Amino acid sequence: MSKEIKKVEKPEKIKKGWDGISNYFRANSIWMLMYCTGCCAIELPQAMTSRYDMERLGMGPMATPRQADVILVTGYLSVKTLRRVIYAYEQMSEPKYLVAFGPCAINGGIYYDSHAVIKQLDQYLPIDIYIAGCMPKPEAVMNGFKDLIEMIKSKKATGWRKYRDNNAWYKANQIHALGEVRIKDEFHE
Amino acid sequence: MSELGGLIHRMPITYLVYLIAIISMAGIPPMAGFISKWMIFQSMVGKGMIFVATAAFFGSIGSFLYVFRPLSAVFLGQLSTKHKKLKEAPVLMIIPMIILSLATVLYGVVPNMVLKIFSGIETSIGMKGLQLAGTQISGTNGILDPTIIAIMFGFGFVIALVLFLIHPKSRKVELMDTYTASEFIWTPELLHYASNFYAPFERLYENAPDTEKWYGALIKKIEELGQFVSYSLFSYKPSTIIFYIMTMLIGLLVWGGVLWI
Amino acid sequence: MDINYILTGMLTGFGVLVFAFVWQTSLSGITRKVVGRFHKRYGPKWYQEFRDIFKAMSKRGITHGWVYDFGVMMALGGIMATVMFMPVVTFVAFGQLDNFFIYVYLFAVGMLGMAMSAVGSGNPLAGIGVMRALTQMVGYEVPFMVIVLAIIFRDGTSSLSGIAAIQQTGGILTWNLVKMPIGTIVGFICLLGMLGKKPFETFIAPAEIASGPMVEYGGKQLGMLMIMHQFATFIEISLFINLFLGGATNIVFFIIKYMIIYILASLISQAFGRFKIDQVIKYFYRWPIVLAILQAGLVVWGRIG
Repeated sequence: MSKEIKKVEKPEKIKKGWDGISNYFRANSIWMLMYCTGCCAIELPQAMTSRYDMERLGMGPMATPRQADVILVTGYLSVKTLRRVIYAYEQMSEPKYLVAFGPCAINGGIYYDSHAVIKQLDQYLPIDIYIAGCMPKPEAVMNGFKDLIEMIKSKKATGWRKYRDNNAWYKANQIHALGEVRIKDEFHE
Repeated sequence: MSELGGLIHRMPITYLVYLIAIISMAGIPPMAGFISKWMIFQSMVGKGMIFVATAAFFGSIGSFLYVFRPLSAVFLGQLSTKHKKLKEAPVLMIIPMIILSLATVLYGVVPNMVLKIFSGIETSIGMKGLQLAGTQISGTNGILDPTIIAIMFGFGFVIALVLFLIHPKSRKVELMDTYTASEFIWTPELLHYASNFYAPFERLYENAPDTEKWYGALIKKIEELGQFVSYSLFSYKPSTIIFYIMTMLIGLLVWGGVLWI
Repeated sequence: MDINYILTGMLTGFGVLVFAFVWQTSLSGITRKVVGRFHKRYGPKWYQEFRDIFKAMSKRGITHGWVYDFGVMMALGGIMATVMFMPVVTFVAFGQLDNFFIYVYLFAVGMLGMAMSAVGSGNPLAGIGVMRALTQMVGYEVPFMVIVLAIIFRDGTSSLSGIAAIQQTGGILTWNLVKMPIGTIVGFICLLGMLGKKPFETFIAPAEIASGPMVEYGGKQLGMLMIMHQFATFIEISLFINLFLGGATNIVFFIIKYMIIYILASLISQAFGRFKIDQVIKYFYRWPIVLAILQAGLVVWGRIG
């Protein structure tokens, strides 16, 4: 894992001049992967269809993590789901962003006293922007996306760099909470 | 084919030879197969045989389908764990393969070297030969220049290569790290799509009358006829043999005039 | 072989390439806006496709091996070579050498390269997508070829600029749209199949097989595939314009015809769902092939049209 990080770091430092233009393109055409983990996912179809049109911001849905830029963690995360979200986040191509909906990613939300729910997502994956509301209305969702676009343009959306540089800390937290991220037998094999 | 897979990582030269062969079989420029297909189509359309030309085209497209299946089932896809220690074919098998592939590529780019011989044969018989001018071939409906096609293909490939190299380098991941909707799969055999490859297409004609079955029925009927003959004429029971001998003797005697019936 | 001839041909071809990329990508964005208004919403900006392509090229993706990269380059190289041969108004790279058969077969290089690279990524969904794309190709190519072979037989030339020039001799009444109306309708249906628009969108099928062949692409390979898709659309629609709508005498008419065909195809595609792959084959081998055979019979034996 550390060899990969060293190899990847060098090209980013050399091509600093392209960053301004690249950030303009990345901010204005964001492809999202809807990881509908919980209840907040109900508010996403409204943001995509005719009334609160998401396509005028340049955003659109994409089918797989390899093609997507932003992963929307909508709702609470159980232990089983967190393993899959970590796998999907690591499969995405860089630069990548993470948007968390609702209070469940901050402190557990209304499931705060459950034994199977993750309470603080920030310890396991880097989050760029939170959208408040349980669940957030489509106007709040559109506002959140506009804020994400502003953050990308002003080079503040660097969650993926944090994940790459502090990888050991994130991995230690994940193993402490989950035991094992890529498990071998939950239902089969 | 469902047990093989991913052999390109162990036998890359065999893969390249197979790839050149199927590009030529499907009739794709710049290989030699395209020249022959072009000339066939020119002569068919020139005479107005539209339906034969359509059948030939259907065969050409269909050949693309059936050559692609071994490529994707045997060479591409997931490498099974029991094949991780394979080696490339021995040198004496590789050399003829490479010579034939180079011949295919060469005759696709400059076919006139071979076509001049054919044109000479045709004029010596008395037919009108192929019109060859420099590197061009003139058919009844148009002109073809395979060298220019090959040059433009190379030009396009160079532009694509430049576009590829000036952008950020990709990081290498292993084959099993692929999109599975975030499910954790550890056996490569589950991720290999090889058996029943064209199942939807085959479902369309599985109820149609099958000539193989008809031939099978015909073979069974001939077998039955043979068994009938062998049972009735060549059996091992003494009574049947004595019956046939008596009948033959009586027939000979009647014919000879000794026994008068 | 003349070096000057080849170099001027390459330069003209490169000009056609740049024009094709700029025009088709802008039209894609404009069509997304038109489709958005069709859905009663604002669409994206007209230059949205450029931003999508450049963003995809600037990401750092993954690679699964050398066949994954080589297939994408072979596909893009083959399609670029086909675009360079396409006649646009009077700009033809190589005079009489733009045979119709070159387009059909060089297209297959693009498809083979993409198929090779997609299956080389090791995902079974890519194999399913490629299987559907090849099966669909059997469906739409055969009626299209019947009509085009009839045109070639009647005109006596298989060069695309030659066919276009014959149609421009008498104004609108000599277009193949007027002389062979049944053939044009069959050609348009096959064009919908070639473009991969609904209802023939089976091989992409975003939610069903997770975008088929493009399942493992991210970063610059995805950007190159998007560029290849734009070029492929340009080739198909220009083929249709040169074969059935009489080419174009100046660039304004070419742009108008192109816009009408592409926006019509996109609006039709918004009104349909998606066929299954055996329904696609059953559809193409029912009415389109019968009408194509009827039209070819009229042209070749009846000498009508």
